[in-house]
Amino acid sequence: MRKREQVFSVVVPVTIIVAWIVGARRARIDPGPFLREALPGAVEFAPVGDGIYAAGTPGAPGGPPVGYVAIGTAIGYGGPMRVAVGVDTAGRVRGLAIIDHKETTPFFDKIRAGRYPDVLVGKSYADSFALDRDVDAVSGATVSLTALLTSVRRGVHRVATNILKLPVKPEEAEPFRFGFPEALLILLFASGLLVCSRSLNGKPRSRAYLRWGTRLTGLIFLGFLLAAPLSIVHIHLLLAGYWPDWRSHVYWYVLMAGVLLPLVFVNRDVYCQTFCPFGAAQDVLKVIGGPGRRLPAKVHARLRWLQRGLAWAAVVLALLYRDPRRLDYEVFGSLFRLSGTMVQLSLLAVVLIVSLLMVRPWCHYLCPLRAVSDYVRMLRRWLTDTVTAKTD
Amino acid sequence: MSFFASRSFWFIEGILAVLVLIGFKAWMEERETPMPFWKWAALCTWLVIVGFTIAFVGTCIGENETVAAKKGGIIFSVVSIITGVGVWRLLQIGRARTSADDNAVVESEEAAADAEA
Repeated sequence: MRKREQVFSVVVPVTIIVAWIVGARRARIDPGPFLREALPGAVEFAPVGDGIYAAGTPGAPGGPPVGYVAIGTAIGYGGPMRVAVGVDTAGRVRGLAIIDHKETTPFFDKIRAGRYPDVLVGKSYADSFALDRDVDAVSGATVSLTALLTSVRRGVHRVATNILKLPVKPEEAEPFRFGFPEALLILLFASGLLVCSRSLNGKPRSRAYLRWGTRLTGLIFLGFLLAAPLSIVHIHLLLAGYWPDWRSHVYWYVLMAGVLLPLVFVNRDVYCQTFCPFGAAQDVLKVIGGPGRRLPAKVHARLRWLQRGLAWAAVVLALLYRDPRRLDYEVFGSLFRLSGTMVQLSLLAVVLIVSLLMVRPWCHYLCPLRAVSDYVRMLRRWLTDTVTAKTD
Repeated sequence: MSFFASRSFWFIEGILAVLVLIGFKAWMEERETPMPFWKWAALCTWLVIVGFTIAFVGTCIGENETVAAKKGGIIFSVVSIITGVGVWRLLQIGRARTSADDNAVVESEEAAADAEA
């Protein structure tokens, strides 16, 4: 292993640990300015419990509170969501203010377009705040909306239980969600492992058919229909410790386990090699584009280091700000949801056009996930080399 | 009435379009590329896509919808380029192979092998 790779292997975890610690200190946002927004009309707030504030009105000092504001939290798509929930003395929601969230802009825009959180005003502590049962779902933003509803429900229930002493139903455990996306993901990982395994050695045609089958399935289902490809946001959640509830996020756990376990134990990047939807899109474009071009070896090597540097900066900044939207330069959302900024859309256009000329330019030179898997492999190689040298 | 909305513009554009298509036909004959009806159909479809792209951007600019013009322009331009490359490759079907083509195929296979590795 080269000296440069060894230095990189050490620098990365050190900076990640430092960013993690600094980010944890920075993440605490003072809810004060949001309390008035959560309970319009009230001006004086006094803490009466952990994350619960009693609200008074001007001109009536010492009088009974007109309501309470509680802070509710839940894990969304990109991390924790904190909501200040204004509750009146009858246990009804009077107003809401989102203190902090890490949802990507398209998801959050969908929630806003569904007139959330305003539609939750008037709901009672006795309501379930359940999607499709109590409130309308928003297509394409289920995880973010569920986090918002859970935050609000928790806030209301805290006031109802601890302050108002109302009979609140105990919080139901998250329902176990295992459906088509999860089953398909497991099937794709199993097929991917088969494609990468030695059992297909000497059968190039079978391997090629199976590989194209997994690629196209990934492109159509994980990409265009479910819009749920692996993203740097998933890696950020893993590193930041924002692990979602396993019962309602089986997909996340299958994805993480399917990516990391083969990489660590059998040195195979099954996801990228066999069914990454964006990789498949580039492969399809390469078929359309015909014979490929190659970059000179020196340029290739430098661009690979640029890719690692960008991914490292993205992970460190995301941890530092506890926000995966920082330096999120991935273009998956732009292709599969036709959303994103002008910069992302322009970058997507360039990548797609270059894909006509060369094999997987995004995967080779820009994808942060490839850099992450490269890093895991680098560490693995270093460890193997060290163990081999000691036993010799 | 501006020139671009006048009958003269469309008359001149018609003449130019016919000249371009006749020139294209002659070029394909020089390259010994057969042009059956389906290739002409594919080419015309692609020309419609390109025309739509230009019309979309122009209409959006005219309506002062600059964001839509930019986003739509990028999306439809990419679609035009990708389909253009695809149509060009379809047009090559039936053409006599040259040594340059064979070298390109070898390069492509090497690149694919590198990617697999």
